Amino acid sequence: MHPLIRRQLRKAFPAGVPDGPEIAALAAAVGEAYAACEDDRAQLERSLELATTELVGRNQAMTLILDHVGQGLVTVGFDGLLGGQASRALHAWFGPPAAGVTLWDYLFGHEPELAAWLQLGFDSLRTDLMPPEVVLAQLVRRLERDGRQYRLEYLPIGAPPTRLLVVVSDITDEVALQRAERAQAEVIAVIERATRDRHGFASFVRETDRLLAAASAAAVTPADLRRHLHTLKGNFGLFGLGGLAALCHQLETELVDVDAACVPSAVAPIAAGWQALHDRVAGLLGLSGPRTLVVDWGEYQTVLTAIDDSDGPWAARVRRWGLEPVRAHLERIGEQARQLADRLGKPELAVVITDDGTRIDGDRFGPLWSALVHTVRNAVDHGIEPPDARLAVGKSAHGELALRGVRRGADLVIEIGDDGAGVDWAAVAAAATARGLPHATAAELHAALCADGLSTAATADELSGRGVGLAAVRAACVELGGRLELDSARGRGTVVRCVAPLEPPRATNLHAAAG
Amino acid sequence: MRRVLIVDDSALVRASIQNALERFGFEIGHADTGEAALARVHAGPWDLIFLDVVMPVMDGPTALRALRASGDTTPVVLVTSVSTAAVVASAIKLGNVQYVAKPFTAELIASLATRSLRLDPASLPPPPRVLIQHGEAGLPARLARLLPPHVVIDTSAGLAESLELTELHPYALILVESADDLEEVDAMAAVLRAAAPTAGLFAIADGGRADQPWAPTEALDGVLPRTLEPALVKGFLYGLYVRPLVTRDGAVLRVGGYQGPVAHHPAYVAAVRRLVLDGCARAGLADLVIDLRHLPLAPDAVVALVEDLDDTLRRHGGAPGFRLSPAATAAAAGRLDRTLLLAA
Repeated sequence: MHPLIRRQLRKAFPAGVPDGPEIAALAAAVGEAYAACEDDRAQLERSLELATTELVGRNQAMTLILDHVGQGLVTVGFDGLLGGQASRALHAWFGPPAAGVTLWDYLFGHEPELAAWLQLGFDSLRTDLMPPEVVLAQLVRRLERDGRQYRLEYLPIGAPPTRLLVVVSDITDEVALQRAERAQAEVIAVIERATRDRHGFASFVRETDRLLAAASAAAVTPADLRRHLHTLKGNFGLFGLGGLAALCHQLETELVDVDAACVPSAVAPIAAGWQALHDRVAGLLGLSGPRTLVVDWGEYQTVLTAIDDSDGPWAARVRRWGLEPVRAHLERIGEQARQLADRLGKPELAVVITDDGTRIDGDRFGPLWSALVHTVRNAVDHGIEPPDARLAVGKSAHGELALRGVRRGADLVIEIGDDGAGVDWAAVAAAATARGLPHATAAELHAALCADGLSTAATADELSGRGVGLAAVRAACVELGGRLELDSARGRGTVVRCVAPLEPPRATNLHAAAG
Repeated sequence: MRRVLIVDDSALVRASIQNALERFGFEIGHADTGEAALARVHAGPWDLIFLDVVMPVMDGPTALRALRASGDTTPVVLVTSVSTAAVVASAIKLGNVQYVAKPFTAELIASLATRSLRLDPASLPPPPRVLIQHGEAGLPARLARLLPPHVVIDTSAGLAESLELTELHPYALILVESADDLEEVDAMAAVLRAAAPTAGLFAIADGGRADQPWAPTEALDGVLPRTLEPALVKGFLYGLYVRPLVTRDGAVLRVGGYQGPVAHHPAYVAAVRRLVLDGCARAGLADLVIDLRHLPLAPDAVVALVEDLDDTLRRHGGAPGFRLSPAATAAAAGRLDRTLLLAA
């Protein structure tokens, strides 16, 4: 008999428990019922324990998820109070939320105005003032804090919704990337536009400079400022500068709404944006130099013929307009050399350009410049030694390329010089011997070096590739009625010099030469 | 017809709010200052007001306070851009005020209107339809680009197809593009006119003038140039023929809705006349009230229209009741005693 039942029996029968079968049966029945209750209770305890374990497990899993998503997640009641657990990202960005803190105080404590808007939004949700979708669409969506930018999203929970899930994402990199892409696209748009319509673009640039100066002037009236902004916006839009156009539009809107004394300094961001763009494209488009005029080639030829006919002193001057500065070509070659050095993993090349302002006929000298590319490649690839070898012989680690274009009498002299190892004349002599070329004198060695395909026969590194290049350059010089010279001293470098008449030889002279 | 007042000093903002509301077929009024808004509110009741916060002469919150102080409880949506949350919060306390920030989307404006006016989205009026009979390939697409998106455009290749379509749908506007000479187009138009008596009916043909589209012949309302200028389509055609000008609400025919600058335009008078007569025919003439209070016409033009309507209705055995503004009544004094029956 269960002790509890025995005790109760004793209480019921203080004079002594009667000993009868009824009492025994009753005690047994109560005992059984009690045991059954006990079983049920134990069962319940076990279920509860299982449920608790599962819940803890689920909570842990949820925490694990929350802590491992890159976004900040937290639920918020319509009263604005943060509920439950905020994900670790939020803790990392904004610190652990204090108990009973509202979303606006937690996120926008540093910006009272935005906090007030967010609070107004939650008030509107709670009071059912407006359609919820309108309120949600108008809740503050951007947050800037500690130099980072965040996007805020609000997802209603429940139907009808009673809470919001707030999702915070760090979009700093995304924004920077978008900004860079937009800037890139604008530069491309500007270049395309400027290439298509050079005149139009040049006047756009002058007009923009003028308008920005007028809009930034201290004495500008609100009406004038609005007008300038409007013109600027239109012009920027026309030239594909959406970002600047948007800035103008924004300022325009603000000015209309404020309608108070306008602040010319408000134009500063637009001016800065324009200046940045100007700087990026100025060099490319030749905007930084003096004003230029583009003349149709046919028109130019017509004028030139007319002047030639009159045999006046102006013909030479006008002809010069059609010529290209030799410096531009040298700069192009220098840039190619630098890029080549970079691609070959060589130390940065020092390029020194010398010219005397000579201008040349681009068509006439075109083939020569093409051929000189080989010379530059030879100089960078083979002429200039590796840094350690250079340092060993007391040279600077980086090579130097000297590009020179000057007039000498009626001739143009172009020199490509490097301060590399110079030509290994012994190897040239050996190669010439193998090819059966004369190589007794310096002139014969030069000729051998410029012979077509000599380098393919030679195995020396110093020579490889050089033969074809020099042969091509020499052919181009000869074609122009000129000649190729080569100075090279072992250890001190090589100068390849093209000397060719600036003007094509007169037909009569050609006949005389042929005769 | 629900009436919505849009108050903003920027015509662009007013237009974009109006665009967002076009598909509801509201009668829309504009005002560009708080003062002008109060004047319009005192002149007649509105169902909803979109009110810009920052405006010259009188700003939105001041106008709103004046409105509520006068006991007016019309729902107001504050349209904000640079205003502070405090300004908006204190405006909300005045009651029945919602807010929307610039830049807004058409959907938000539509949501706000739907809720404020307790519109059942399912019970929106059927979209207006335009029929274009044409042989020129790009014409319908060009038209579609110029009309608001809710307008349905049906196309037909010839008269037989057009007639079939007019049996299926009511059309607000029928355009007939043709290379034939105008007399032939007019003959064709006469058949279409009989099939669709209330529609605007225009030819698109060589010689049409954008500045003078209204040039009625026997059946045609006018001739349009093939270029279909935006102003012509968006202003004239849409404003006078596609947008609702007359709505029937039980036994009341309400006239209004026209937003154009030339409210005395004969095209408008003709269109209203046609729509009212058609409305009378549909409603049955007994006990019909024609509400002309919002007719945006100069009093002289109202008088002419009322006389015209009255004659026509009497010929058909009706005894119409007109309701005129005090100004129109004054203008009509002594000339309309025979016909004027001011409804309560």
